[in-house]
Amino acid sequence: MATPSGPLTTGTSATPPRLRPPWTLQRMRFAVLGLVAFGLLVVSMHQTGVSPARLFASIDDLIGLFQRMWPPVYFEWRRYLDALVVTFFMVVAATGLAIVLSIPFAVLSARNTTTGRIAYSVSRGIIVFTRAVPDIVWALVFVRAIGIGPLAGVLAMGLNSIGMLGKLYADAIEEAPQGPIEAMRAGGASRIQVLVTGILPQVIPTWVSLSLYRVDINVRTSVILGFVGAGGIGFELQRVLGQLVYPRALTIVFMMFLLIASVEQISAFARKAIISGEVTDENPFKLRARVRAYRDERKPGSASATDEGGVEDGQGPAVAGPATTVMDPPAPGDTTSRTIASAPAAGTLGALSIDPGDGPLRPPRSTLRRKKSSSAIIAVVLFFVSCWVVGLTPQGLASSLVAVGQVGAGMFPPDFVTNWEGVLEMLLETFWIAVAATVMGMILSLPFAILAARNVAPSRFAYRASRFAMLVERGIPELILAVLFVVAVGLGPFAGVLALTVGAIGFSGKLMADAIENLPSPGIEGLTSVGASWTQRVFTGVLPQAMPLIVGIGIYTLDVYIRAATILGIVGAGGIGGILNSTVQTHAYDRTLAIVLLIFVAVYGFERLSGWLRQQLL
Amino acid sequence: MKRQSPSKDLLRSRDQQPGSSGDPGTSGAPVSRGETPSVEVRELVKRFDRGRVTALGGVDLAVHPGELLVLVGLSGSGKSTLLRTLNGLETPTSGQISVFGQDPSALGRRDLRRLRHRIGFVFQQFNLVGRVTALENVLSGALGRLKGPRYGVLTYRPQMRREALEQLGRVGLAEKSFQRTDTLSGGQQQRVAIARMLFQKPELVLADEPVASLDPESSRQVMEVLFACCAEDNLTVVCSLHQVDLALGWADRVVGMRAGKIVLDRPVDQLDDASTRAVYEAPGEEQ
Repeated sequence: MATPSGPLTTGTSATPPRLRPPWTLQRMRFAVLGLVAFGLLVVSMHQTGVSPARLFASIDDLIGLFQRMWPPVYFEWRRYLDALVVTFFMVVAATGLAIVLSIPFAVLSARNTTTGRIAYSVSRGIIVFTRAVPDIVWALVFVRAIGIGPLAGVLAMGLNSIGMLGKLYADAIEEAPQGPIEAMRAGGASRIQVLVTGILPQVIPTWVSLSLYRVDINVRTSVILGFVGAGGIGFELQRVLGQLVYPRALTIVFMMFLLIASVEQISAFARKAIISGEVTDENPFKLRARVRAYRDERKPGSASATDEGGVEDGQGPAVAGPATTVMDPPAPGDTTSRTIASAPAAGTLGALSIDPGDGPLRPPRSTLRRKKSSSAIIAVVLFFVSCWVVGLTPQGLASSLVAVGQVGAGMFPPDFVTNWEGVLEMLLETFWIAVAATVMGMILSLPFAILAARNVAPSRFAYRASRFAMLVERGIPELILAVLFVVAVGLGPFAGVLALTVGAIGFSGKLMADAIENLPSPGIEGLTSVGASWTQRVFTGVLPQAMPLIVGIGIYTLDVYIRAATILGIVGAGGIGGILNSTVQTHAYDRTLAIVLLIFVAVYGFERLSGWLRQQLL
Repeated sequence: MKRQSPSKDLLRSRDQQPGSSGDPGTSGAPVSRGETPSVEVRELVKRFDRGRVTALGGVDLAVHPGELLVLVGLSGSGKSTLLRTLNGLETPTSGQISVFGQDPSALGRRDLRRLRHRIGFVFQQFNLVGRVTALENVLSGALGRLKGPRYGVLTYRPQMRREALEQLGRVGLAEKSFQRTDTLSGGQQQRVAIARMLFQKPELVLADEPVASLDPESSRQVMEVLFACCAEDNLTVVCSLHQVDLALGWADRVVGMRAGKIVLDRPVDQLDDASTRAVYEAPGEEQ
């Protein structure tokens, strides 16, 4: 509806030109979200007893704690090292178990590969449930069911990992390009063939890198599972903290940190190797040469696509003989082209000297292929060794299922009635801890994220320093942080909020840094070209582009922190975990189940809500 | 692989005699062949979006064995929908389809697979698995005649690999066999897709704007390869195209579509510029 002389920017014709952007739905949503976030921050700080004064005071407390721990004492190191090795094998066994179990659930819960609505709902339900129950709660249950030891931890982590891996594997299946899948269906391929030939090659890199990511998570989880008796290094930490020998605790925390950091480095290296395998430049088939060759080919005047050859050794361009006739341009409307064209088919074969007898029927040997197959073999071997170490045998699995069944029977019927006011109050406290920590954590970690984004960082030093801070922070699991903060500032939600807030540097900060690194750079380059300063580029070029991602990460962080906050109480850092732990310790499994169900409903409900929010905003 | 197996056409017995020319619904294109049509559709209607968008508004068409038919028309005129309906990627809202005497929309999963295996499809966006080698993509064309899943070139028998290499040779890409598909140029990728289609050993080829995302030079090469190979294998071809001239010298018949209806149906030797141009005139006013 173009009104005469109406401006193109706005619809109304009578108004003077607009000097401020119109209130679009999107803008209003962001404004409302900002207000809501601010309001939630105020309320949650009040509810969890966080105030600026107390925040500053806590710094002194932390320094005090550190002085009590210093210097670390090493004389039990052999014992800790053994526990550390067991922890590592627990992680490998649990992740491997989770990978194997996740794949069928992922296939069934991806919209494009599921077999039906029932299979879809059931597998989605299982995925959501295994993830909604925190691994440390699974560990509590397994320790009660099959006794103290690493197997309980392995089963706990394995079960919890299904929830994450199953969901993300399914997402990868849904996001795989549908074209090849359709082409295979159009060619008459069966469901399983499409899955293996059409989808699997496309999702494998994503799956592997997700699994490696899960290794990182599990290694961080494993060190704390010992707190509830599920073996490994965490058990040692709990023992020495119980004895109030803080200098030994510092040694253990330091060893945990080394394990986590080194596993993370290894998996980051592996992920990078996988990704670089995807990058055409580093492809062993000498792609640069080939790319150049076909660019030449497409230049006008060069007729052939086959000027290069030498496929037998995969060694890039070499003069391979005459150009094929298929590519020779026929005269337009050439009536004899049909006869010409049937010749090239044969001619092509001749020219390329493809002798069906001894053509290369297997892919050329390459470093990449060798690397891929050897790492796969190493992974499988490592998995079986780990299973043997932690006692994850088919019999062990079966007998633990029986034991779990017995504990499970004690859970019914769930008891929602006993102390319901207390439970409700603690659920709310959990929520407020998560909110306060998310908002404060996002504010704290954004500067780190900007400095740690390679394409934005003002200097290499800032980039390195910030990435290092994230790495160090991530090396200490939130629950360990919570333990330390409880010792420093005392029991209660304040310690929990502090732990999660600091935790955001390594968690949300890293996610944001990676997101910023993936932003398209032309906008930033454009600003450089007009002479904008670094801060100007950040505020005008980076933040507006990154805002939807930052909001998305904020919502995701809240999602994760609500789950994390439910277990803080197990170490006395506030929230529902305290009650949860006491019900297990007193064998009141019927109340445990009730609380787990309440947490499940809350987490699931919030996940739906955050999904909806994300949809509205992004 | 048997080609042009005689198939009973169920629709035919009701409506017309074998050997008669095109059906009355179209603009009366004479079809010079006396065989049972490979493809026959009747009053085919396809609506999307709960009936709000009509992609096909009553299409009648017969394609005879060995015929090379080119579909022309603006984007959105229904060409893709027609092709996709023929191998069961879309289900028609109403009307009848017969491909080799079978209705893809009425078949069970297994029978549909069997029918699809006889129909090769070439997509505009190539629809190749980018991460794997060209050869593996070609090999995947055989999935319809294989049992069980396949992962990696080595899971196919050497004899199959040999045949697949031959097909890659036919499209001039033998020496790219073990190169990752997503490192090939657009024209080369489409030729890989054609090799995959040929390796499928179809009797009917449906090509949905195979060169619409390619530059003119690659387009010419790709069409040349496609038509040459199909002619050599004596395949029936229905190919939608934007540039009719790419098909000159190959096509037997040109069918023009506009707004979901057939507005032109002529042997290629009776084609003139004016009638082709008419197909591309602004849509809206019908006939």
